[in-house]
Amino acid sequence: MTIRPRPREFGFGVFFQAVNSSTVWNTPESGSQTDFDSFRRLAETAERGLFRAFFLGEGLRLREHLGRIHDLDVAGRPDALTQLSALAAVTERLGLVATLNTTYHDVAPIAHRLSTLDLLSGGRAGWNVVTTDNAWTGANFRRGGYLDHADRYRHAQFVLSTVRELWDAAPEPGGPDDAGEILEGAAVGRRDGIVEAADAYGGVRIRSRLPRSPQEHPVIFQAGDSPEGRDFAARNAEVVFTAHPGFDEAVAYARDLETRLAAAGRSRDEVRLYPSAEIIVAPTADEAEEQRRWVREHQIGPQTAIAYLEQLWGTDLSAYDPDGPLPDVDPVSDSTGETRGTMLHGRRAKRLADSWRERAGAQGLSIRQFVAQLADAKSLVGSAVDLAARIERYLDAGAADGFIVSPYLVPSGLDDIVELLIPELRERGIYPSEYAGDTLRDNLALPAPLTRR
Amino acid sequence: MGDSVGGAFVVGVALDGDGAHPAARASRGAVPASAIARMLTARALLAERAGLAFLSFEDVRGASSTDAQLDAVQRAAFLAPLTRSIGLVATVDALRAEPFHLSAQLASLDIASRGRAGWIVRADDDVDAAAELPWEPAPGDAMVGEARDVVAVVRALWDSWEDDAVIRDAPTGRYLDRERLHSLDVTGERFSVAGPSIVPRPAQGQPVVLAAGGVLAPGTGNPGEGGHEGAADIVLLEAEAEQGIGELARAARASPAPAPARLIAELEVVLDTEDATAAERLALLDRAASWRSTGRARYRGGAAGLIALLERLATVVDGVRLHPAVIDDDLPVLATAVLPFLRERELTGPSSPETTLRGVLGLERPVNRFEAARLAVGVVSGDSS
Repeated sequence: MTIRPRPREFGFGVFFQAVNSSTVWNTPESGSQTDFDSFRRLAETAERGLFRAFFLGEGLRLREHLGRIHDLDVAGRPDALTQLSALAAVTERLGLVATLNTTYHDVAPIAHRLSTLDLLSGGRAGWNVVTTDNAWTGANFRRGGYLDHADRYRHAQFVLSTVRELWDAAPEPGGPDDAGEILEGAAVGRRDGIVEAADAYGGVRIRSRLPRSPQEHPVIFQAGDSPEGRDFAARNAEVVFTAHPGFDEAVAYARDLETRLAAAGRSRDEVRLYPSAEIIVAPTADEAEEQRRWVREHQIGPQTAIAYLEQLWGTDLSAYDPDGPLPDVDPVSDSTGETRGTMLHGRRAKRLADSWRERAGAQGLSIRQFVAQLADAKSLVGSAVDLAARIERYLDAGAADGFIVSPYLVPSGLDDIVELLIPELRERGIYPSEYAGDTLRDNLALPAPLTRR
Repeated sequence: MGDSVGGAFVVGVALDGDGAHPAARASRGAVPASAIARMLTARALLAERAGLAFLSFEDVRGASSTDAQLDAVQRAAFLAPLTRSIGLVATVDALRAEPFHLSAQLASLDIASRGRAGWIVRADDDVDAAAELPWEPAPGDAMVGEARDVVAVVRALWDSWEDDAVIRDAPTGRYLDRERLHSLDVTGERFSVAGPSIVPRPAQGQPVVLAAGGVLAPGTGNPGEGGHEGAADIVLLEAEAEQGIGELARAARASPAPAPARLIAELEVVLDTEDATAAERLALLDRAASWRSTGRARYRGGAAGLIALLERLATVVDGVRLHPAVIDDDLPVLATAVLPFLRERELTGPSSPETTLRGVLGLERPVNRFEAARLAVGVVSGDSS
C-alpha cells in the first residue's frame, strides 16, 4: 500500500488531565472536574476549533505522596470509555481517545469496549496503549502485580495483537476466516470469528461479535518514552503522543522515531507526532506573559512547590521555605515517587537534585520559582501571531503534526486557542477550515490500519 | 391494593437487539453499523417521552451467542446526555468483571446521567464466557458468594469518597480532604481491592443494584438498614405465570433475611398493533424462529389486557420490566396505548426530569458508610469531652 505524504496541516487534541498540578482549581474560573458538563463544554469548544481528538487518561489508583493520598492537585475522574461514550452522543466529528492499560484490562473487554465506542461514534475512537507492572497499582485488581517488569512491552504487544485479530475477525462476507500471528513467546490465531491466543500470562478464546466501524480499527496512540516504549510505538502506533513539546527536544524525538520506524519497516508518513503541551496564548506577548505568571502562581502554590521537590527527595521537606533556596540535604536513598507512578533510585535522584540546585542557584531562583520554571518547559507562551509562526516551524521540521493540549483551566481552557491561535494558523494556511471527514482516521489523514492493508 | 407496596408502580423496558423474540432482528432486516447509534437514540427518546421509568441493557454473552451487542454500560452512557428522566440500567456479569473498573464505570454513568444509573447483577457459569478471560472466574459452587463479594466491593468503592471530599481549600493548597477518602475494609474471598476509587462518589451515592432472585441474597444493601453489603436494592422476579410471580413476591417479602426494598417482575410482551393482532404477529415470528420459554411470564394480546394485567401485578410487586417481542412494533403501542392509561389511573407516577432513579423507585439516597462512621465517632468523643 502506498502511504500518502502527510498533509502540511497542523492539528490539536485536548487532554482533560484530571490529575497533576497543571490544572488550576483555586480560582473563580475553575469549574468542576467531575460534572459531565465540564467535559461536554471542553469537547464542544474543541469541536468548534476542529480539534482532532478529545483524550482521556486512566487512573488505576489514586495518587499518593510520601505514602498518603496526594491532596494538593485535582483528582477524581471518570472511567474513560464510559465518559467518551457519553461524549460521542453530543459531538459529531471529534475523535474520542481512551487510555487503557494492557496489564489491568483483559483482551476481550478492551476489544469489545473500544469497538462499542467506535460504533457509537461512527468511527471516532482511539486507544492510547499503556502498560505498567507495579504491584502498587495491581493492588486494585484481581491479578495484583502479576506481570514481570521485563515482560511489560512483550505482554502489551500480545494484548494489542490479539485485540487487532479480534477486530479483523469481525463477520465480513467473503473475508478470510483463518489467519494468525506468531509473536515472541505467544501465539494468536483465528478461525470462524473466534480468536484463540496465549502468552505466558494466560490464554483466551474469544468470539468477535461486533462489526467494524467506518474507520475499520480505532486509531492506536502510544506515549512510551523509554527505549522499549519508543520501539513499541515505532512498531504499532498511528499517533505518537510525546512529553517533549520544546522545539529542540521535539526535533530530537522525531529523528529518533524516524530511525526506529525505519527499523520497523514503517514510514514517518504513516505516523502522526503529537507532543503534549500547555499553550498560553493572548493577543500580545505582554498579555501572554502576564497570563503565564497568573497560571504559574495558581498552579504552583507554596505547598505544591514543596511537594514537587518531595517527590524527588523522597522525604518531608515541609520545614523548607518555598520562597527560599532548594534544600541543601540530599534525597533519601531508594526514594520512590509514587505520585508519578515511577521510581527514582538513590544515585539518579542525587544527580538530578544536584543539577536542580545548580540551576536554581545560578539563576537565584526560589523553590517556587524553580518549580514554575520546570513547568515552563512544557509550555508554549506567546502572542497568537508569534505562536502561529513557531508552530509552523514545528510542522516544517517534522517535529510535530499537532499538539495535545492540556488546558490549565476547565472548562474554559481552550477558548483562547480556538479564538486567537487557530485563526492565525489558518492565515498561514496550515490549519483546516473544516473537518476532512467523519472518522478520526480521516481527520488525521491516516492510512488504513496496519493489519487491514 | 393488596400487600405493603409503597411508592408508584414503575414500568421499564429492555432495549436489546431488536427485541426479545429470536426472530426480531430478521423481521427488521439488517442494520448497518452506521445506523446503530441513531436507532438506539430514537428508541430511547420514544421510551422517555412515553414516561417509562427505566431502560435496561443486556450484557455481552459468551462466545456461544452470535447476537452482536454493544457494551451495556456504554450504551447507557451514550444515552445519558440525550435523555433527562429515564433510568439507565446496565446488566454486567459480576463474575467476569474487575470490581475496580466496574465500580468506576457505573459511577461514571451515574455522574454523566445525573443520578439515573442502575446495575443488574448477572452471575452465571457460562464456560464460553469464562474462556474469554486469561484468569479463572469463580466456579459454579462459588458463584453466589463471588457475586456478593463483587457487589460488596463495588458498593464500598462508591462510598470510598465522601460526598464533600473535594474541598478546594486555597489557603492550605488542598484540593482534597484526604480524611474523607477511604481505603477499603471490604475484600472478597477470591480477590481484594485496595481503593479508594478513582471516581468521586456518584450522584445517587449508590447507583441502584438489581438482581434476579437467587443471584444475591435479598436485602436492601443499605448499611443503615441492616442489609448485607453484597445485596441488591431490587430483586427481579421471574416466573412463567402471573400466579407464580405473586408466589415469588410473597416469599421474598416473607423471607427471614432483610426484605428487598423493591420487587420488579419480568414480563415478555407481544402486543396487537394497527397492522396485526398479537397472535398473528407471533405466528409470523415463530415461523422464522420459535420463541422458546425463557422462564419469564409472557403476555400476548391487546393494550387493554396488558393494562389490566399490570393493575393486578401492582398489587404484588413494585414494577415490571417489559421485554418487547419486537421493539419497533411493541414500544410504540406501549407509548400510545398503555402508559398514558397507567398514568391516568395513577398507577404510575408522573415523570420528572429532576428525579434520580432512586427517587423514581422510592429509594432513599444512602448515607455514606464512612461518613456515618466518622460522625458516630465524633458524637462519642463529643460525649466524653
